[in-house]
Amino acid sequence: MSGDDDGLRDFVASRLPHLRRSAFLMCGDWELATELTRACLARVVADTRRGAVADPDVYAYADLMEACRRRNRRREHVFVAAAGAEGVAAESILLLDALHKLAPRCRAVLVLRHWDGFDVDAVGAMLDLDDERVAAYERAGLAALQKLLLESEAALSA
Amino acid sequence: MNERSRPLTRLLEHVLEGEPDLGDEVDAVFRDADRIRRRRTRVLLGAGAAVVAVIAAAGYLLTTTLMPATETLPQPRATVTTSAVPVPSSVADPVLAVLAPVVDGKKLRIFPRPPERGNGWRQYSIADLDGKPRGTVEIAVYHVAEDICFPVPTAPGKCARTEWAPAGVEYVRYDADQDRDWQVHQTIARRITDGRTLAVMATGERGTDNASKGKPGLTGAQIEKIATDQKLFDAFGPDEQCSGPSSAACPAFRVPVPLP
Repeated sequence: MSGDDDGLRDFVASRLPHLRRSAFLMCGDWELATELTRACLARVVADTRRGAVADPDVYAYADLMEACRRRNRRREHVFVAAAGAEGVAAESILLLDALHKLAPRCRAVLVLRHWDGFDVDAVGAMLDLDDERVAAYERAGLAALQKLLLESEAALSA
Repeated sequence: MNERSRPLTRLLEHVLEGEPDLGDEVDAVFRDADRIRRRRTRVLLGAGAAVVAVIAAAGYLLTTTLMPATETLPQPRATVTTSAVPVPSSVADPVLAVLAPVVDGKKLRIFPRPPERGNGWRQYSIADLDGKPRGTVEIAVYHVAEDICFPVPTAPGKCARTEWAPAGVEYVRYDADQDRDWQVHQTIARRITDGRTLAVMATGERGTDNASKGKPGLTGAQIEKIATDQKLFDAFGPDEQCSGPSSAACPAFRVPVPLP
């Protein structure tokens, strides 16, 4: 992608919804997700204009995951629905809560692999991890998520 | 993505229902990008001004050193340090419940060693069935959200290659028996799903100048087994950790856990 504004505008328009959903899965708050995504893409635009970005996708997702990690260092198990949104299904809240009980890097691996669909190499590049570590985080994260969901279901049905 | 990941992907799709409109976010991104550019320009100009100021100050200082100096340097002030006190408790001990089966298997006994516990740490004595002391076991828990560089005692600055235990526990084992007065079997283990990190260390009797007496009661393999046991990770309270004001009371490990 060149630094011309039309190309950048197309890039931003196409990536913004995906990035914002990933940010929401990372932080559980649509307003915060919107704010973090906007700031992240603004940095992508500013740095691309001065020719400092090799791969805008890797740059954008890496920057966004780092921003989510910094903002959500303390794992607050909170889900914030969008203003004016209709009721949210209990299963969704349980899933978000379980996701947010994972360490930020573990959560990032699951979101990038299972929501954004990136391969292990790309996730490794985005999170600065080697392939073995990405695979370990994914395996452990899926197992922990499954355990947490089963515990939540058991608590609900009790 | 493979077949295994599809159910999670479908679950995540439901979570995103109720997504708010994007509105004019694309324009907002470009407004923010312009703001970043302006701010960077200001920072650049500010840095230039600072460099000029530093050069001027250096010139002034150089000039003044050529003149007779009558000033006296201010004396450094003493700093006050505070110490923290661990909060002991004597409720049932789930940590001991994890250790006891391993120790019993060696025909040894284990019991709390005063001061036996604090926020994020425990210590125990080991003795044989005749009551002869066989050293101590010390355990501490930490929270390390980020990946840690497991230390290499012989090469400071390098990171050790980790081993993996089931359920996403990475660990490194440290065995040191060269110093007859401080023989150690230690394992540092980190559960990567939540960053909870354990240091478990067995030592023999210290200061005896006797290699046999200084031998730890538990082997390196047993310490490894204990440190990577999921039950031990959950045996400490959820908010317990050896950091913060009370961390001064935590045990001193042969290989300290590198904290951020």
